[in-house]
Amino acid sequence: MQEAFLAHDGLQCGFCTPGQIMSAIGLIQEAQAGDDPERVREGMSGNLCRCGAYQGITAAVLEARKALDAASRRQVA
Amino acid sequence: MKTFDYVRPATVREAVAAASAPDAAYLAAGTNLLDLMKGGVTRPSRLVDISHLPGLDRIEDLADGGVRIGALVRNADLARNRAFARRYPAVAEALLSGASAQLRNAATVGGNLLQRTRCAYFYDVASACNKREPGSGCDARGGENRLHAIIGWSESCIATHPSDFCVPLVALDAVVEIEGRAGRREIPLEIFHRLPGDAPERETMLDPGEMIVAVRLPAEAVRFAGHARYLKIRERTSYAFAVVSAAAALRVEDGTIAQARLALGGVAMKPWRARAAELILAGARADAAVFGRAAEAALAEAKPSGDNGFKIELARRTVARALALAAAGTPERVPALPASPFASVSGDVIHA
Repeated sequence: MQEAFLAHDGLQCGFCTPGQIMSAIGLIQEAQAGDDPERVREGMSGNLCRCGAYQGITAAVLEARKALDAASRRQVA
Repeated sequence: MKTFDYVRPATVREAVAAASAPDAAYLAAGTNLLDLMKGGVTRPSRLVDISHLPGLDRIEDLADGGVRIGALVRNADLARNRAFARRYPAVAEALLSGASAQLRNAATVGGNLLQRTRCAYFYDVASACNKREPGSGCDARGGENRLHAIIGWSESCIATHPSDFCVPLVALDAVVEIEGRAGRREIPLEIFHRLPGDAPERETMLDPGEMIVAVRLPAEAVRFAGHARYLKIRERTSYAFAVVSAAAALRVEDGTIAQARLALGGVAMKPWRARAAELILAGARADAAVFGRAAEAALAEAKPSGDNGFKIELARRTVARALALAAAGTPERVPALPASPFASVSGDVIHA
């Protein structure tokens, strides 16, 4: 997830990033959002990013979800 | 912040005894109470932490076909419970439209019913507020009040009840189970919250020390599962309270409404059941004309309490649209944007 945030510019100042990453991992574990960017945005809406990196964050979450197979998804728990 | 005692009872009976002291408050997830305490808005002298009480976090199917939801069930756990969401889809949609994922993971059923208004003057201790300080006046009157009540308000208070969850619950005849020193009793949710009148500091029918232990939905509520929606108008798409909202549930037979349930949120100091509108809908063909008449009836008593006249027409349109959405059928899955007017179901564009 951290790599995906870097690859997709999911941050600028980094202040909100730890919380974004925790929420993103929670979101993937809950397995409700799938590959739907709208569901990812809604699920992540409790984390504000004053730099406005939302597009990168959504892209990072979607890519990380794809990259993490079921086993490693459990591992990040 | 004021110092306070912290008590962690082991049983409901002990909790009730501990909370019967003056200025005691129950603490569950604390998603509202802790903010209020930090801001000096409420100043309890004793916190009774019920979050560890056993047996209150269950969702139980009842023999009569209804469901009993323990007071400590988390919002997210209830909304994501497949059996519950299938039978009470409007309740699940309302829950998922509220707050944020983090708050839904913490906030409880009982706490949702007992959450305080979001009126900014209630939260600002430098402002006059009859709810926070009885007799001090109401700075919301003549203040920034475009989101305040349009039904059931009084000269002493124009605040609204902020819950989404309570709106479909009241439409579906939910009952609140309460434990007090005199034992257990129950109250229909419809009369659980009080309108402000001249005592806005009294918000519910609970007596001192009484505790919500569960909320029940009756078996009849399941019959609306095929046509039940919640629609919530917000000032941003997510993580916001309702400007106005509506829960609509219909029983439709051959295009005719056999039975209707309707309630509004964000309009009054309680979730507002619209029984006159339900009577208009019953027996009518499910079309835009009758939805419009029902919306008129639902807002018949409405009047602005400030710069919020727009909420009356907005609420009418929200009711009509919620009814149209319900008539179209409950979607297989809660939309990506739960209860949002911007949500699309199966790619269809939605028009009231």
